[in-house]
Amino acid sequence: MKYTSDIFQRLSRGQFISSNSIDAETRAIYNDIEENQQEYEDYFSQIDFQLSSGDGFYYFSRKEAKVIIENKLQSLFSWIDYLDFLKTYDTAFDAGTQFSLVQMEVKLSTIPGLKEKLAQLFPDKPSNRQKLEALACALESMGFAELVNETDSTYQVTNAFHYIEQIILCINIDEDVKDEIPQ
Amino acid sequence: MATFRSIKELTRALQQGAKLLSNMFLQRKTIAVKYDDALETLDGDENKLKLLITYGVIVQTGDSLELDDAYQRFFEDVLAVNEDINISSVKMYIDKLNLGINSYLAAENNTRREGFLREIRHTFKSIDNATRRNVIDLKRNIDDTYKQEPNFKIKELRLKDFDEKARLIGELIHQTERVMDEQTIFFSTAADYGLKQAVSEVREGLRESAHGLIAVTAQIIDYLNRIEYQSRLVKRVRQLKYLRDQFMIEQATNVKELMAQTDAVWMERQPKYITRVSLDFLRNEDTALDILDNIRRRLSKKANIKSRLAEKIDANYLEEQTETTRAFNHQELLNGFLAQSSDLFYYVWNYSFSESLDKELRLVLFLQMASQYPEQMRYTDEIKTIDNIDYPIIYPR
Repeated sequence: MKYTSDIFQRLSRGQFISSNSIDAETRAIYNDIEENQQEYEDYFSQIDFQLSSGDGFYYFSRKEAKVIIENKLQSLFSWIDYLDFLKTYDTAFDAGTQFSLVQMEVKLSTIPGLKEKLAQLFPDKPSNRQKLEALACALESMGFAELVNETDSTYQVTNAFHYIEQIILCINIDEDVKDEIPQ
Repeated sequence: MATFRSIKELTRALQQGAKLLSNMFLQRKTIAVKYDDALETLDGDENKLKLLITYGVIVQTGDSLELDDAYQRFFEDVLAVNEDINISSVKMYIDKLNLGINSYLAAENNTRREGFLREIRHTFKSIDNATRRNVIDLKRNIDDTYKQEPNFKIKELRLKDFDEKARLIGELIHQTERVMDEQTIFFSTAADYGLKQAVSEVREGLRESAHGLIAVTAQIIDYLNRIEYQSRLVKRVRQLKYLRDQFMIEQATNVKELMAQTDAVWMERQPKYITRVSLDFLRNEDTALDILDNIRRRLSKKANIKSRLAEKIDANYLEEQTETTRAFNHQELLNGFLAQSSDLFYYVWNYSFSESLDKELRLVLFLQMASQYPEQMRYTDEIKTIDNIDYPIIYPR
């Protein structure tokens, strides 16, 4: 239980802590949680946070909702947009994938439909580059990706990315609507 | 097409064209080599190139040159870089083995038996080598395909093909082991030391290959699962995105119920924790002085303060001034009127106001009262006259 403050700082802001982080300190924190999971759970439950875990990552959740469903939906919907873009960019985009913004910018003109998808994201950012930066920033602030190389803005995706994937797979679509969706 | 008559001749030819051949081998997957470029590589010695073409080491089609398939395969095999898993049919190997064994048993004299024995040993060895090589190639190819093939469908097809190949290799191992177990008569007759050694080596080798194969199959299944997971995910994301763009997502999916169940903190607005400075700290600690000093300095920047200062107040605003305005209290007048018995005009005409009032103002006041409170008035048809003014009689109701 050496990292209570660090863990609180990160998780209470909605971040994730991944086991495959490139940052040695984050890995140390992950390992410490893993070793003392019960203690940490008890500790944080006293201040109304529930320490939850997935396949190689930890995050905070609540026992009672603090936000209304509409707000949650909004948060989730943005991620559907992001994921749609990322999976178009690379169908195998997953934990462990490395991507650079430079490379993404090049792919915008080679992968059909990619540029249009990006155009819909982050309407307040005028240029493609700025939109991509905002996307990387969204991934980074959640702890879904980490900056590997600053010079060419290369990022690596962490295990926590599975969290959003699993939510997506949990959403069931009505069978009769499914047939109406074009392939 | 001429053929080499001896190994010596072959190796010499290969030696002469070594530079070109190694170049062509490196580029075998990408481009055909141009005739002129090839000539340049051989330092312009056209005879060498002609020789290689005549003996069929290099095939010429128009202006471009390619390595002959037989040589390319030979190089790949020897250098262990072949990409294709070459599984000659299991049946062929086993038949060859059985044929050798049966021939051995049927042979009359030792010399012939010796020959068959050598053949059998050879077959065993080549089965062992082929399996070992195949398993290694398979492993490498699977990894390459999974990591480098960008197209999901092709990736899946190729992996499934590798899975089938793995099955065939396994079959070969199994069949070979069965021959070794079942041909007891042969193995008891042929008490040959070399054979025994070869067989035990082959057994060992096959066991290793079998183990390798299990790992490879597991790997294929893992990769296939991952592809399945990824393609399922991609499909789901596309569908959800479509529904979202059509504003149907909330009705057509269980996303609302799902969100009702999850209360992850990341969906909340980012909290800001504001902490106040402790008063005790400010009073008692020396370091607090520095902080206060710092803040003071930041606040006392002249431009800051100037911009926050208001203009000087005009002296006129500070002097006291009074202004008197006159107004009638209609309600009070009404109350007085209701409390007495004379008519309204008489009442207004003779009312003693605190200020003196001329006739016209009294007349206006009468009209105002008469029209303002009709509910409290009783209007009569009688008319009276005061100072040449005709007026209607109005009583309180």
